Amino acid sequence: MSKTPSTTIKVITVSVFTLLIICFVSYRVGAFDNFSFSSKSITTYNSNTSDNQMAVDTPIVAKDSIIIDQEMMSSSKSMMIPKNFKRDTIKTIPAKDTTSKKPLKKSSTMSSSKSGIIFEPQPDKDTAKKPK
Amino acid sequence: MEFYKSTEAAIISLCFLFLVFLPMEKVFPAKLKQKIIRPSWLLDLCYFFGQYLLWGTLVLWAMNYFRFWLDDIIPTTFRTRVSNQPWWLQAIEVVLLSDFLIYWGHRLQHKVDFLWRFHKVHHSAEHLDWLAAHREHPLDTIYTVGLINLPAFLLGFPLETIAGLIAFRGIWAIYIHSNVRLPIGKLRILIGAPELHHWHHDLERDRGNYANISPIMDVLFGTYVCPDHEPEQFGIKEAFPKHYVGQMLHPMLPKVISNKLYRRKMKKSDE
Repeated sequence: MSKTPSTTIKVITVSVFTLLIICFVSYRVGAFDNFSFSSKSITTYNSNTSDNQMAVDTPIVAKDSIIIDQEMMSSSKSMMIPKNFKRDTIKTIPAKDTTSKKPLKKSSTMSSSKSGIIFEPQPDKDTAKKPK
Repeated sequence: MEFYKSTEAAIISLCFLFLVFLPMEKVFPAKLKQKIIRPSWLLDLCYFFGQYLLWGTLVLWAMNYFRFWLDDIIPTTFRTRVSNQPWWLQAIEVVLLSDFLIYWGHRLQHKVDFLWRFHKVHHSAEHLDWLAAHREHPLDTIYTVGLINLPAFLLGFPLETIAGLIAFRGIWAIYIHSNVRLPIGKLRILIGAPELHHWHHDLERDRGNYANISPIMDVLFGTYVCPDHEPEQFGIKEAFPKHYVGQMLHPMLPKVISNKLYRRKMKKSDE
């Protein structure tokens, strides 16, 4: 016969579970990481406006990621999360020159299939892309 | 070096998931008699490591290719219009569209034989727990991940701005496979629950509950099922290989050949 766990055990289990989930999500949004801004910025052409603006995406590097270059513990039923996530990473600034063909830095990605995908900039291997 | 790092990450992930889900499965078991070391756990472990160490790169490559291919064909005027909307509206649009697409994409996986060939790998699990969530054919994963991300790719929405939500839904998608039955009331409609997904894994191929995480799409399209008890049996009715390599190859072989091979194998094991 199997014993039914006591209410205390149940409450503790749910609390620990909730806490771990919160920790995981916090970790994924970078709460535990000591973010530092890279000196290299990714320049992309902004399609938001018609008044010659340029979007600058400044990458943030997660230093102490237990994920180790891979976004883990997720599922294929989840969307992809770029590694450099932070709401204010995409800033719109006036463009100085929109006529020249500046390369759009293409991010490389690493991930596991079940666990989602990350985008990580690799400046050396970028492929140039023309703005529309 | 990369392999070493991936292995390390996979082991850390395995330990973390074990820590998160095991107590829940022990205290709130859906199937009381199911043990931690249950039949096919080693097979599911192979899937787990396979995904982390082998197939991740393939899915990644496919998504990257898909994304940049879309970037080239989507008119900038369209993206301009989208990005002129408030951020919160874009976020809602992306999540809802994504849920809508994956709902219908998932229904198709159960309806169309070609898609079912790959998807049934996931459904071949006869024991559900957090580890069984990882049983998936890589081509099936590409299909699923591609559909889920399609709205964000199309609209050019920066998914990093909803990273928290995505991370939560990601780990919740593993949780809904776990051997847990813990009623969460009306919250279930918003974030889904294991008892709903367990019914999706019922022996019947078209049982229902096709929605991604939140069952809203199932409610809308009439495929929501939620009896107050667990299904008697999980898995598929069709004959299917029981080992990793067989399951990987089976969907890709012509039906005649795969059935022939499988029958020969069964005959040998019977002898």
